[in-house]
Amino acid sequence: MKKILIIVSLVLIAAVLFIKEGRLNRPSEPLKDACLSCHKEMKNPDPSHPISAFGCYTCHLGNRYSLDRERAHFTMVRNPGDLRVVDRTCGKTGCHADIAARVKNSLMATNVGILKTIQEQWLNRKDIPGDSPVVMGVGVRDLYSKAPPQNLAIDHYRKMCGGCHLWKKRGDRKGEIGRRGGGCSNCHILDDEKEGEPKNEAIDHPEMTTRIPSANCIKCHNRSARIGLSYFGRFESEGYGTPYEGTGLSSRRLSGNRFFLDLPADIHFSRVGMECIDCHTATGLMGDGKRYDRMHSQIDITCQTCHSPEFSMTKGPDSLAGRLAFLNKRVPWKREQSVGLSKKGTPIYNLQKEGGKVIFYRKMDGRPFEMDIRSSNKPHHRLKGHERLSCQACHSIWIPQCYGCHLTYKKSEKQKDWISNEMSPGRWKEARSYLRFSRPALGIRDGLEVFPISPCQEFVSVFDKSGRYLEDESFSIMNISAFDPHTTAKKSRGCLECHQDPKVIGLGEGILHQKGGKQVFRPTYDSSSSGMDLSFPLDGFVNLRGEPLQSGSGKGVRPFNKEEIDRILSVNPCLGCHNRYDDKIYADFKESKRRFEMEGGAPCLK
Amino acid sequence: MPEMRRINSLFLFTITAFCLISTLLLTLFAVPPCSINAAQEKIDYADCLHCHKGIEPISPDHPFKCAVCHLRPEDPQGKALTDHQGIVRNPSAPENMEIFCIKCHEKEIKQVKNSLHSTMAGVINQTRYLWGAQERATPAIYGLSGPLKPLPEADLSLYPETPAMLVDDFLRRRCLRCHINTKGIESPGLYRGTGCAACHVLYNNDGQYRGKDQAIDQSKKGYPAKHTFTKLIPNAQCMHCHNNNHVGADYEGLFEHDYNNSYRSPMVNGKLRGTTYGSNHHHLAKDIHAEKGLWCIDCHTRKDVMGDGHTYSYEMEVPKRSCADCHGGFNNTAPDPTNRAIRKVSGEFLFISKNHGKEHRLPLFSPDSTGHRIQAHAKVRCSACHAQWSYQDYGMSVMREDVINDYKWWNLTAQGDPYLQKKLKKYVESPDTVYPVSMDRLSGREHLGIWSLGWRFRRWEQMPLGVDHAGRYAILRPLYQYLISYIDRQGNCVLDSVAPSRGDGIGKGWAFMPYVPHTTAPFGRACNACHQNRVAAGLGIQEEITIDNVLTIPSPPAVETMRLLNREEQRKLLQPTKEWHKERLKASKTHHE
Repeated sequence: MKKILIIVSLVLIAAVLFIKEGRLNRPSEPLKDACLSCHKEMKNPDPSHPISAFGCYTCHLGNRYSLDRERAHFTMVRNPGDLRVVDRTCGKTGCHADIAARVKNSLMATNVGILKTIQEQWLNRKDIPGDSPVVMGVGVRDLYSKAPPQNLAIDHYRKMCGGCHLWKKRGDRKGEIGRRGGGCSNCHILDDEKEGEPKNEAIDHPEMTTRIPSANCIKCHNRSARIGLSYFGRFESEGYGTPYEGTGLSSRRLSGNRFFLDLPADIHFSRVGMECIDCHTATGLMGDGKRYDRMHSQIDITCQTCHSPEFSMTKGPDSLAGRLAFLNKRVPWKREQSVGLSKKGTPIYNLQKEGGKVIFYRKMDGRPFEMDIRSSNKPHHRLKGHERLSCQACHSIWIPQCYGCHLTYKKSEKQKDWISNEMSPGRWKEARSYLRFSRPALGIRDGLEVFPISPCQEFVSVFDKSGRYLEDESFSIMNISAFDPHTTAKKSRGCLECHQDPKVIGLGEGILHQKGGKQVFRPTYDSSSSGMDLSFPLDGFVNLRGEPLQSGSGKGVRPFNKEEIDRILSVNPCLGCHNRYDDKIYADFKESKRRFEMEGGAPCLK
Repeated sequence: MPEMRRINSLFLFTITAFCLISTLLLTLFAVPPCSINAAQEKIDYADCLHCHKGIEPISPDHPFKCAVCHLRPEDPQGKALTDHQGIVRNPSAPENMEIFCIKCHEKEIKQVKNSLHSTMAGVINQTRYLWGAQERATPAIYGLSGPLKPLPEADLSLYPETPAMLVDDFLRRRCLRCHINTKGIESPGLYRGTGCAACHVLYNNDGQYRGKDQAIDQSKKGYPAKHTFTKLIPNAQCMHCHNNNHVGADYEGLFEHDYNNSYRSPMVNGKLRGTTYGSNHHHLAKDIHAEKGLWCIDCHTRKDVMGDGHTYSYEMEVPKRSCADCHGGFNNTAPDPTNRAIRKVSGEFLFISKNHGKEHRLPLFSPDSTGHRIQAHAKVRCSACHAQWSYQDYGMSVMREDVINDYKWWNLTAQGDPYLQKKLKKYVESPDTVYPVSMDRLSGREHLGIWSLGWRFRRWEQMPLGVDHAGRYAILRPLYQYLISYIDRQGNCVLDSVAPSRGDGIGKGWAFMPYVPHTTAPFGRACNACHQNRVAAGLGIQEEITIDNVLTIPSPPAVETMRLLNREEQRKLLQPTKEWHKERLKASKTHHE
């Protein structure tokens, strides 16, 4: 009896297995990955990663041998680009190990710069109550750890900034926010244009590319410095939503119920139609492996990279330039090619020298543009005294400016934390004083370069759990930051626009007047009457005595000092007649001025 | 002699009006304390002062009994006084002034009725012209008083299809709330009386009574500061109307914050600042005269404010005291000797302000300063150089909606108008479709439709130049660059951001108007604020034109005699001569020495 039972059981088990296995769709010929027995017609993500060669497991993990849905999908990763798994997917040995490691150290992944600056600014004040030390070197990844560092500045980051970095999970929400994040996929996956239309996930593999459309950049780079907006001639407006369209407000909208105005776009876009990646290189974007804390340390291009380029000969398909060109497939490539070099020495493969001509190729379509690189020798670029000017100082025609950022922090309320993706106590709200898109003020970056500057001014009011205002914890910080506005124009600003304009010098809007041989400045904005505890206007970064009123947010950013202001203004009287860069008085301006004063104004006043 | 008579009648007028008001107030507020103190007693309403203990006399020149001003002549001591009904609260209100004040102030009333404060001819005729409803802006055709044709009432039976058909409704609901005959809105800064009292009875910004009348509840809003009439009118009184990015507010340095909720700032000690005139305000540099404590009425005389009997069509046409009358100018470096506010003391001129009689040293036009040395500048208004900033509200989009079924105004309910803000907020927060109503400020009746507006961008630092009616160069401000939308009751978009056409068909109904910013600085702006300056020349702020920055390029004024700079003037401004450069250099040189 026992034997019979055992035999029957075995037979039953055998039968069940037999039937179940028989019902599985077994491929007729052996396949690399079993996944494809279901995902039969899956399209290739891109020509470099054909499914026929890679299969699915290589990138998506899971169980490549199982033909069972559950078992096959167990441990599968939907987004191989996610930095949490990237070491086993895109970044595995033999694939892009070096790049994955670099990306993890890059600013788009770490946001170290933002985290460092905001902490230093907010927490290094003298009279801060309680114990809230700056956590040095903290990056986004640390915020995902089990016991993340905490302080007021980090809380602000988590709730107001933490939605734009590579560690953010992709697809966690609808709309623009959901498209942000996802590690490699953040940039290299083409977003589905037709949002809302159901996709056939079984066969439509998201398309991968190295020809990254600017839309992938702008989905994040439209706040703060708003570079991704300015470049395309957009300015986030005061929110009136005008002109009205039909029964509604303007359709010129950004995410988050924001509106924009149309302003002159950067000439690289308006004239040449360049996308972000035409300038921004792989090294600049994904980093060189070093963990920088400032954007412009990581970026490896400057205007000069293209406009007064240095070239180097590259040979063979295995050179970096060759491989990049191969992936691009639009920019023409020869076995031996002279290509431009970035400031870090990495190749700019779409800037090529051919027979004495310098050709720039657009990465998206390979269209060539011949570059005129002789301008660096022209008098306006060789003017004595202008050595410290950045290109941006003269060629940026406007810069987005946000004066007075008024933050309220209510501990009694809750707000979504972008990192934990949960509501947590403490709610931030932002209001402003006013916006401008006028001519940029100038200051000094890195202690040596004249650069456009824009304000970043925080007035923080903190409220406790019972809604009581906490005077001790509330504070204000007046900052300036220097950045490339991305509003380049061919025609530079005129001499007078800087040499006599108090706004551009950093004094602010107002009247600069000479009274009894002395300069006096009557500012237009009255901050203290406007309710802010300041003795200077919001747009006053420095006073005539050269005392900085607002400090730099990064190392080496400052407004002009007394000597610089005097020097700038001293040229003003001469500019009427001596309005050419090659005018001889500028060859030795000090001497010219001395002569003018010694000789009683001769010959100018004769 | 006629001068004397005028003064006499003015006093009488004031006195009467004040008495009327006082009686009114007295009687109105007598009730609560009386009922407390003497609940048993029967109130004798004829004995006003029994309750209104401590009320201040309206003015020394109006030593009347309460009834003289606050009781209608046909009801000398009778019925009205059996209770408070029938007591005339504001005897100087437009409907009452011809019963009370006119007994003594006939001439003043007539003059005021012809004045722009009463006719509003400038606002009305220019807007109607720009919206295509009439062929010209001047001479004025329509007005709210005087010999002008009355502004048509909105005909509710008509289906508006053009801006011209909507303009009167727009004026009545959005613009004409600031008028001496319409009631002020019950909101901080906007409480005020009507008629003579609009100016002569002072209101605090909070609308609370601060006098000694025991019958009046000082916590209630909507009362004058005191039961007194005055000719010494402080700036705050003028600003009950002259606010929100209009001349007057600039004198005190005010510039409206943007409407969107995200511009409700800053927090001061944990509290948002309260709004005045329905907005938060930026404080910019005050006019130097305001800084020194001078009042509006130090320059704006009775004639100027109350009219001289003539019906003017627009503000700049009204003869007024000029800068040169006090400071001297290109043609005359001494002050006007007939100006009684100016006194010469040991070779120096003093100006005696109406603000508590304070004496100020009067600085005179300096013929040697750089700007004043140039004879060509005689054609330039003083304000063109001395204004520090200006109201530049670019691109006004207006929308009238007869139905609201969306949330688009959620963050934009602040409209520089607390009445509309309250309405709009209620409508927007309603989950249902609503058929909004708002008030015709002239008739006081509410009917279907609400006007909302928004700007493209508002700035203070740009100052384009134009030419005023007298051929002088003046600063221009956009008034306005309209885009008009109309949504009917069924939700159809009848007008979709339509730029109106002028009534004479010569162009778009967008105008920049020469004006005098009241933001005077003690010194002029730099030469290059106008010369070699593209904004001043009228070329706009940026070379490459977009649909937004194009708004900084001026359109011709609405008044025929005014104009933009012509090509030649632009060229001269942008390309100064060698001599000009020498002058500029000399200027800096003399200053350095």
